[in-house]
Amino acid sequence: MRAVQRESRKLLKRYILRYRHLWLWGFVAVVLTNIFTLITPWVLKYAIDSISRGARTTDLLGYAGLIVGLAIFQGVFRYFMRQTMIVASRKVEYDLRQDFFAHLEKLDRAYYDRSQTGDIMARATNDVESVRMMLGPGIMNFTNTIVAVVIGLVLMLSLHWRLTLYIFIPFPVLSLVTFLFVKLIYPRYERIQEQYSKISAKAQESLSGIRVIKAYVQEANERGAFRRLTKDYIKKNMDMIRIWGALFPVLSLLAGAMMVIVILVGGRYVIAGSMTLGEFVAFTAYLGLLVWPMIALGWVMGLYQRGMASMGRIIKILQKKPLVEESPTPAQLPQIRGEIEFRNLSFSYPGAETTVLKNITLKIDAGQTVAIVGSTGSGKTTMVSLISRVYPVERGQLFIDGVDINDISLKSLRRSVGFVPQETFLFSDTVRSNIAFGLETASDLEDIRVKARCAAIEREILEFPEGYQTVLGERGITLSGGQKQRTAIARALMLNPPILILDDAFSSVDTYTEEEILNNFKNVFFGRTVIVISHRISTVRSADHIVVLERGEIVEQGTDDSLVSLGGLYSRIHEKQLLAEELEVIS
Amino acid sequence: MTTSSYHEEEKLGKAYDHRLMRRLLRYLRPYRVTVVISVALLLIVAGLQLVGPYLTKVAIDNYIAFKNLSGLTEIAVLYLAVLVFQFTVRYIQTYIMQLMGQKAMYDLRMQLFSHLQKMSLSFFDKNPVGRLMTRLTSDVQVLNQMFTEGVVAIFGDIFILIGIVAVMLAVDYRLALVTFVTLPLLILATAIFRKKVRGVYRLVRTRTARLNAFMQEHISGMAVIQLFAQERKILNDFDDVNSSLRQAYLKTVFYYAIFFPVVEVIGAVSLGLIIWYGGGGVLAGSISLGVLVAFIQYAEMFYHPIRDLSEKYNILQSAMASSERIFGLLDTKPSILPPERSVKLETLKGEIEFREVHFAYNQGEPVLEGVSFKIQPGERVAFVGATGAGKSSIISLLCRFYEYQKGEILIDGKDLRRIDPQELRRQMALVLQDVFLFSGDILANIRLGNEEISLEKVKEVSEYVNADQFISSFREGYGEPVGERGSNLSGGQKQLLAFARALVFDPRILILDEATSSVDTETELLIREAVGKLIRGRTSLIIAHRLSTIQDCDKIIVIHKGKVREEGTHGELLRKRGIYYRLYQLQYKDQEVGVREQEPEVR
Repeated sequence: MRAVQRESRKLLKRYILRYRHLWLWGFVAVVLTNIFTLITPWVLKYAIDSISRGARTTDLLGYAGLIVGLAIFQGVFRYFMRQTMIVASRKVEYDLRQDFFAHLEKLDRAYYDRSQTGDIMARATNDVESVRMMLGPGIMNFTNTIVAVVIGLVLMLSLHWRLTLYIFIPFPVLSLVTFLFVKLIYPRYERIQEQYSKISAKAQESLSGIRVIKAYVQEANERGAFRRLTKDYIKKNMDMIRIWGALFPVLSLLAGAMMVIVILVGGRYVIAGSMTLGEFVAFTAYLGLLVWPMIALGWVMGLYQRGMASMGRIIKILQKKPLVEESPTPAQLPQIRGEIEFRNLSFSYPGAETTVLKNITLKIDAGQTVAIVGSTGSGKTTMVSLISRVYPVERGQLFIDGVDINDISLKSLRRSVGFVPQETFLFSDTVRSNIAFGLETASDLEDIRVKARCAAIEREILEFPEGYQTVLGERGITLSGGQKQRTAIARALMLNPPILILDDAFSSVDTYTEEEILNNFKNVFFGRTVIVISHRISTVRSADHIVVLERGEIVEQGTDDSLVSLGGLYSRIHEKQLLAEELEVIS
Repeated sequence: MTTSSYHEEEKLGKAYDHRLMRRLLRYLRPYRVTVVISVALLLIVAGLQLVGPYLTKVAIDNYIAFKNLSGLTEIAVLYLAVLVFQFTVRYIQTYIMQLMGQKAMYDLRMQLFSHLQKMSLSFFDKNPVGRLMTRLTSDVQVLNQMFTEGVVAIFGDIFILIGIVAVMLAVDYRLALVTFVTLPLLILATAIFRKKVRGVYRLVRTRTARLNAFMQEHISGMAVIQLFAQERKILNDFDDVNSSLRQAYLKTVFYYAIFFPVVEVIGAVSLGLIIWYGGGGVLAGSISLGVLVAFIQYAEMFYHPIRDLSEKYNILQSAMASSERIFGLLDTKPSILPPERSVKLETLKGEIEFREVHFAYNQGEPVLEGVSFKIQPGERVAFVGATGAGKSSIISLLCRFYEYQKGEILIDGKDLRRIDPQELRRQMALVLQDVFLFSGDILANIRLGNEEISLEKVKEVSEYVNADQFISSFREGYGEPVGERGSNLSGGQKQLLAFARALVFDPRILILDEATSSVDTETELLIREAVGKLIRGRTSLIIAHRLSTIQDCDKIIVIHKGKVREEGTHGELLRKRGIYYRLYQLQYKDQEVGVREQEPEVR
């Protein structure tokens, strides 16, 4: 907890320093604003005194003009105060969000496997906003209060130092109260946050488990559990409010007490003749001007509390280190040939105990087509994912073109591997941008069309009213599963990758189209390494080499013929496939 | 999918919607007494705030001017008393207001939660849990802020404004009128500000929505971004979205930066007018010095609520957006409602009949196309068919999770649509492939919320279904906590636990969706034995993936492409050499690939 707070402060300091000139000018503006604001009571003093002495109306007009003039100056600086400090906070907000997102891009698959998008989003939006509130209105009001009190004090002392001392009798109490509130509120605030998390967790559970809850008629019990948590939340909130609710009244009480002192003591001075009525009025005016900044202090404290808690939540993500990191001396391999070698590779997911891949030894020559088969959960996807190094791989176990995968620059590696994942994810952008997603520079439409034709998707794209400019998702056209997969294939082909990985990429594509695509590959894609994961024997059959995985181990390998005659797992899958195809025909 | 849901979520609402507000205020109705008291207290606070300057006036005119020391002390004491009173009232007001806000929030949250529970499963298919969570948590939170800080504080501000005007008029109406000369200016400034700010806030809202949608989409698609090494490009795109939002915000900053100083200057003009006209009045003897001083103070007080009010705009706006989303959810009616006049359900015999049932999750994509079958009480029936044939849908309909479009389903001869789903489910038990575990201990996961079931009973049942063995091996036994996703339990153990859960409720109808995931041979045997015990003596429907269970069944129903294609015993169907025969061979292969058991003798 402490460490997180320290880190938060360190990071905040960095952001603030980045815009130090804005905050510095802002500070100057605060000082000038307050000077002009706090001179006004002096003007009042002279005005009232001259009225008591029987001034001329033209004098009064002068004083009135002076007041308005001061206000105009004050207003100008107040404008700058916001235009510097609040603007700075908006800039930090932007930077923080930018850095947060950049960090998210660095975090690897292992992190995303364990976290929820909603949770990350909450931090990027709500938490960033409360940090912004702390830095913007928070800092501005805080400086304003301090500067106002200091300048006010100086001016009041020079006006009548003895009365000033009396007035500031409640001041130590005020500081003490403020300090005490901070201490009392923090643990209460944390308890509320904890309870809030509990409510969220329960809601999450009840909603995800709705099927079981309904099946076993547990609605009432779930409601009861949720009710208890929510009731407790009220209690915890009220614990906080009992304290927090007193803050503003106490602050106003103390500020009011100062006014009582002015009347009581100041009145005596006026009666005794050691103070003019104008000075008396000036004092009341000072207090009037200082009350609000002092009360704002309570508000600022709340902002600080919330801001720091939020910063802590953001820091927790910023501190997460990706397990897959660029090597300090990355080898740039601009022209990967496509030779892949697994050397007795074993793998388990970070943080998990079960071994997913065991002693995998496999050499894939450049230009070979290799198929991987095996039942669900046998480790096929994991195995090919490692080639893109989305999970950490131990040294000496996986080599591309004879270079340890850990030594290859991530970028050159990933740009050499065209990966079509099991689950297709397309962005809500045009078809064209989606296919050209992997390209650094502007895409050449002709090239895109070649790739789309190769993936057997062009005909359908051209049928859309907007063709390649069709926007997918939201307001555009929603693609079918097979169309999505083929778009993803075109996207991978766009890289002209020396290595192409198809992870069950034809599952929603019919066999006929699949064959067409595979044929296209042979023509366009000659001489590249292709790794195919598939449940379809028809896909697998023509591969140069077939690997059968079971429970993370290679149990059989060879060509289609050799494996069928082996009479092992492959031959059974083979037979089963034929049966399933037969069944498909019945209707 | 996820991206589109986010867009929809950030639809642009109006800054202030009368209808929404009225509906929101309805949540305060149970606490109207509190609201009335609270508003009354607020009136008192506002009134007390107005007393200060008046007391100053009295002090100056009546005591300081006449050098009356004791009177001065009296006034000071009175002032202090007012302050203490004000402190007390304010504290009480804050407290009861907050308590009310908390309670209203509690009501809303519970209403929302109960409402969600009533929704049928098709609703949950369409609405991701994350989104519903946001409704239940942060959206409700925003409304609390509006109840406690927004609505009431606005009342307070308005009271003070009215109060100041009234007092000033009462004390000296001519001076008051002169002071208020600036009022049209103030109103004009505020109107311009509001108009400008409304436009900019619209910009902020659209851009915020764009930013959120962008983040949501790209966090979900991070895998693709990284696979294609497009981090830099996407970061640049994010920069565009992010900086355009900053741009919009900077515009709001600008308007606020202009507005506040303008209000100050207008205030200063009022002050100047008071000095000039009031001072002149004092010189002419028509106005006392005390009145002048009091007016100076009132003028100072007048401008704070105005500033406050413009800040409240923000709170109100986000509250509108949240309430719109919440009400949208509350207005979504569950597609299955308990029947108005439900038939009384005795202890079930367990007869089930489907008559020409048609069903589709989405219109135009039929899943069941005229399914008919009849199951006698106590029968053990297996459903087989390829993936996607419609087996799970039959079960979901029977549990009344989804509404079917055509046909009839009869339980003990009674129309399913006229049975209260809860009544029905009380006599059924459903064991799903993917066992859902609640955070809590093992005991709670077996008996669920039903605390009437004793530990002994749970133990007995667990022993019966072979679950006691592994449970007892835990350090805390039945008190062993289960992690969120049940990570400390293996797949097979979760299955056994689910069996215990089903059996402890002693259902009349048991529905079992066998797990396909492979488990070790030993557990496999335990599971198989447990299933045998589980289905004994009750109507059982099994979606079978294991041969052994099928063979003992009284009847096997073959579902193929949404229709019942074959029906009969294992032997009969094999002899038929139809779909079942092929499926059987297929599953048999599966079996071999998975568990490698001995070849069954029937072949």
